[in-house]
Amino acid sequence: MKVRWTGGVRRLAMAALAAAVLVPGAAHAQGKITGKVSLSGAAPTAPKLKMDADPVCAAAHPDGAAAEDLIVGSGGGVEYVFVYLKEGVKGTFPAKTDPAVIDQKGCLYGPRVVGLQVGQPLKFTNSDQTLHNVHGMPKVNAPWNFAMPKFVKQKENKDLTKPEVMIHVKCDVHPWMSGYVGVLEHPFFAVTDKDGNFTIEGVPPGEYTVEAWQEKLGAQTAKVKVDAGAPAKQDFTFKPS
Amino acid sequence: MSTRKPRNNALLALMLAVASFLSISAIVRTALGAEIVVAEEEQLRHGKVLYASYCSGCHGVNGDGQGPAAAMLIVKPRDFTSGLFKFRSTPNGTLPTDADLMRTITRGVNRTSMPEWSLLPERERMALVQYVKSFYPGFAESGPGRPIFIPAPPATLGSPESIARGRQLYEMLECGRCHGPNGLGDGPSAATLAPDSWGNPQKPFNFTKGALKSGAAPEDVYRTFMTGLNGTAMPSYADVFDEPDGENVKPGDAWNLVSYVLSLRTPSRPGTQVASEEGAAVNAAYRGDLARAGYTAPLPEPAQAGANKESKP
Ligand code: HEC
Ligand code: HEC
Repeated sequence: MKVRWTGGVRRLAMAALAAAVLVPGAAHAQGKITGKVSLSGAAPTAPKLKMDADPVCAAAHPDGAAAEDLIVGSGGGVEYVFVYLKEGVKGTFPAKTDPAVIDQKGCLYGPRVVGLQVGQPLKFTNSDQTLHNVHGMPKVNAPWNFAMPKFVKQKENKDLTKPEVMIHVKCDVHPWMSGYVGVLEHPFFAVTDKDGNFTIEGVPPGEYTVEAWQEKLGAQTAKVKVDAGAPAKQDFTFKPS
Repeated sequence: MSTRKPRNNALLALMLAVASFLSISAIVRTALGAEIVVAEEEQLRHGKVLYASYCSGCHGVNGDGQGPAAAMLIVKPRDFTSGLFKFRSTPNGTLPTDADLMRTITRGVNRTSMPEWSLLPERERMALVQYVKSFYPGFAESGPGRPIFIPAPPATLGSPESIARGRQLYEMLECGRCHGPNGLGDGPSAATLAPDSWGNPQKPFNFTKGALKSGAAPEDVYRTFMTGLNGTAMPSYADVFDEPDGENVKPGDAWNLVSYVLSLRTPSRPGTQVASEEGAAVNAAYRGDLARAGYTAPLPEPAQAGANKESKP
């Protein structure tokens, strides 16, 4: 049978090609990067936040809430560090359509740090019975500042169209509320858990520059080689600033 | 062969006609295009000259807000290179339209040193608009946001019922967190506001005192809380009113909030323009500012008293 190079066939072929490029190989061909981010020396004690300007916030934390700009857990592990592939990623990766979510709860951002892909929506939910304004202050993407009165339970920003590490997000009503959003062209990022551990999944084999970013400690990079199937390990240790 | 010639000739003639039509129209198009380009360049050249004499003293020759007078001013002149503009009919985070910039330049910014330039001919203000835009590449790249639709104010605007409903909305939407429970600018969050995006102190407006920065027509207030003021804490409430949930917020409620906000003004005349005595000594402030900074470029006389008086941010 002679295949005529019609529009339809061309589209099919393109789609197959795109699928081959966009969904690079099968799962078995991927590697991953795991590690731990820690702070050397004695863990600092986080100061208590003063929330009494808004009784709704204060009531959510009967024992007081601790500042979250540097959370050091057991074994010196640092929470909320954004770890991502900074250089070396090849190919294009379609953005997830389900949003990255930040909940405003007890007048804190949960989580304080998120990553998402260019074009992926960023959703803010409001679990509090009080007003928050969500004020994003990017340098590359378009800024935003919308009010979320207590009865407005969710709002999506779909305008994060350019890669940017990191975007500062804050609430002007509650000055201690501060968060960071990393926008990347690929899905290879992670945020450390309360023990400082992270895993970046599904990384195609290759050599990469990995960066660990923390709002107070700054950023560190490391060269990491990823092989198919075997997890690569990379720890980061920050010194107290 | 010979019988077919005329037809070929006819075809050729037709093709020639089409071709020459195309090329003529191409010529016309380039001519028009070139004219537009020339007009734009001319406008920018004109704008640059006007800007150098009228605006650079405050906004700086490079548009970075660092003119010689800037250090003396309480409310800092806008840094046009930041791409952040407060007074817009366009959604939060987007750039203003030409009409927005025209309005600001024509009216000035009340309570700040930004003069009104209503005495400059419209052509010159248009040239200034284009020149101001040239400081931020985003205007050429993505252009302004899409202006919001502001419906005509209802007949009930300013009525006691509308004001009462507006008061409920003011409480429900917690404007008072910043602007204070009674609109005095003294809400619990007022004292803790971080500096604005340009690093300068910011203060929620005291609705009972002084002129509104970008005008006190009902539409001005409507526009402000719908789109917010970029670079400041003042957020956009567009979502709340654009899709009223019917339970907390009902269609048309935005005008009730306008009624309430304007009713706080003294003298309490909702919907009226800025009270004139407020600005009786206007422009003196910015002239004083400029003189202190040794800036002597000519300024047009204000068209009307009542515009600009600088107060604390
Ligand atoms: C005496 C100082 C002064 C002079 C002269 C001056 N401005 Fe301004 N201008 C300001 C200040 C101060 C602000 C900021 C007001 C604020 O942030 O509330 C401002 C703001 C602006 C804005 C920003 C509005 C927005 O939406 O954020 C524009 C546009 C502007 N000026 C244009 C001009 C132009 C054009 C001229 C010259 C024709 C000019 N200004 C001359 C002081 C000045
Ligand atoms: C998070 C704090 C905050 C909240 C909440 C807030 N505002 Fe504001 N608002 C401000 C600040 C700060 C300014 C002054 C910005 C400036 O002058 O540059 C302002 C300015 C304004 C102005 C413009 C005054 C002028 O000079 O033209 C209006 C109108 C206004 N707010 C209305 C409202 C209304 C109505 C609400 C509730 C629906 C509200 N604001 C909620 C912080 C807030």
